[in-house]
Amino acid sequence: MSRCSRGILLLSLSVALTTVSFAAPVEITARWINENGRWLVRIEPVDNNRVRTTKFLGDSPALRRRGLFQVTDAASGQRMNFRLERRGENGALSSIDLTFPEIDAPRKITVRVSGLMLQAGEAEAISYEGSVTADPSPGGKYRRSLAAPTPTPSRQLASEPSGGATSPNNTFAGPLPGAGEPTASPAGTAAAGQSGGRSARMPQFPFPPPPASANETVPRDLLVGAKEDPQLRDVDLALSAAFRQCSYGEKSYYAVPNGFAIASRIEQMNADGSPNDDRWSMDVTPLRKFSVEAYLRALFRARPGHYRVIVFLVTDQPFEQEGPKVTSKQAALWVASGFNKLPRDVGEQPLSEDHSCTALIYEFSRVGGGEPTFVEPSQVTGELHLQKSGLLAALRGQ
Amino acid sequence: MPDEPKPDRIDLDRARNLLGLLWMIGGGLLVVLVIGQSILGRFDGLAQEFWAWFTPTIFPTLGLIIGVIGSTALEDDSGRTVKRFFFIASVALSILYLVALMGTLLGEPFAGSHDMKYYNQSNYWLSPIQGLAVAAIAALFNSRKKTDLPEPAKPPSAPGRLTP
Repeated sequence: MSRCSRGILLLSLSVALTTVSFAAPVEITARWINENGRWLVRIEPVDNNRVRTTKFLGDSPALRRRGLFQVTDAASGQRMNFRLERRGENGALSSIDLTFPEIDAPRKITVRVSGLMLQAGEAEAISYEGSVTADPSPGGKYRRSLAAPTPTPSRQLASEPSGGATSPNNTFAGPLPGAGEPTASPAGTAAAGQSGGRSARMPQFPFPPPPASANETVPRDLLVGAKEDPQLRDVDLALSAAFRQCSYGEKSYYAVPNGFAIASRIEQMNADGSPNDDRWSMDVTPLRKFSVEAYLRALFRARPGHYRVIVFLVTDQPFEQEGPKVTSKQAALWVASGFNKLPRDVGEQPLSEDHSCTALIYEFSRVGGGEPTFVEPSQVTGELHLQKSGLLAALRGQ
Repeated sequence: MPDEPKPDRIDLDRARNLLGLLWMIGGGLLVVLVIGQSILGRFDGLAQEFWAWFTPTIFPTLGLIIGVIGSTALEDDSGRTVKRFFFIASVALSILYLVALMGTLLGEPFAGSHDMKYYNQSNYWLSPIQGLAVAAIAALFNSRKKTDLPEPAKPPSAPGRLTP
């Protein structure tokens, strides 16, 4: 071997060793723990020979931007709703807890993280990107904390302080599953979660719901009248009758916390919110009645198509509308992805004074080619949408 | 004074000018209509796709006609003729195509499909007519036959041998 070749070999080896020494392995673990009767997944940095007393940085992109933390059910591959709680000081966190409002028993999950910054001592921060699995099976890592477990509801409100070093201000709801795509609720509906009733795998409507173009609260008396001890089923009956009367035909049921959601089929409407002649077609309506004015307008002006999906959300939870905007394709799938009827155990839930029914109108319009795009905000108020669609009159029994 | 063409033939220059005039007027009307639609916002969101569809329907043929007329502007084409039947057929095919194209644009508001879906669909009926019309025009504009002129003597097939 020539001197030159040996030199190159030595140089390569030294570069490789330098790279290895600087690319210190960064590991995190995720494990199920039961803290005060509440199951959660705790994510912690792993200290090793090279990296000791590692902390998460509180200003990591993963903790500031939605979507950089993704949790999926390892069995079904479905995205899961979660809440993220920071533990430790704001600047450096000892661990991150993930709680799951819709499940009350641990299951194997995969947490995909991007942009989670770790720092060991004064060393330079390292960004973690990768997946980690929390497996509750006997072979998997999980433990019950020594704190005395007490039976508590599996659902935790974002505003509820969870104690310890966790600050409510550091809590946020997990990303909406699939940007508006409903997911199968893993262990039953949120509504049934507290009552013991179970509606196995009722699809979950994104909650908090994605931003709507318009919304309107339906007065309670239009839904249950003066009925004593009304149940969610009574609301469903009123809404279903209104849908039927307005010829909506198909509708789909989803689970939301302590309630349910009904999504209508996507329909084409006129700009003022009234149903279009080609209501169930996604194609723009051709000129049907000839007049010179209408013809010239159709010839020289673009004819936008207006579409909407109405979702009635019945819940006792106050909610904001957040998350990514829904696409027309996602909204159009809502009518096909849910249950065809309200499960009995959900319907038998009492309609408390806190329950309200909110109509969320997701409007889309298309000018020219391409997919209809989300309209925000709608030019028509939520009440007018309900009025023009006929649903309000139907609920009033007219 | 140039010879008068036979009754079954038409002066090539005149034929080309008539056809050129027809395409200028017809094509011009179409272009004005489409520009007006574009300005008024009919093609909002699909202007690029629409013009990509519209441009090949008119401009290649117009370009051919203008190019040939322009290239022969300085030549003396007197005495060149074309069969009258073929000229009439070319005019008929051109009118048929221009009317079909105009009808396609004007009929869009009544169409079941919309926007580029409709215009792309119209290629099913426009393309065959356009193919025939363009073939006729191309043949006509390449016609070079002169009337009643003796054919030029052919050069000898083999060069003569030089002898000392």
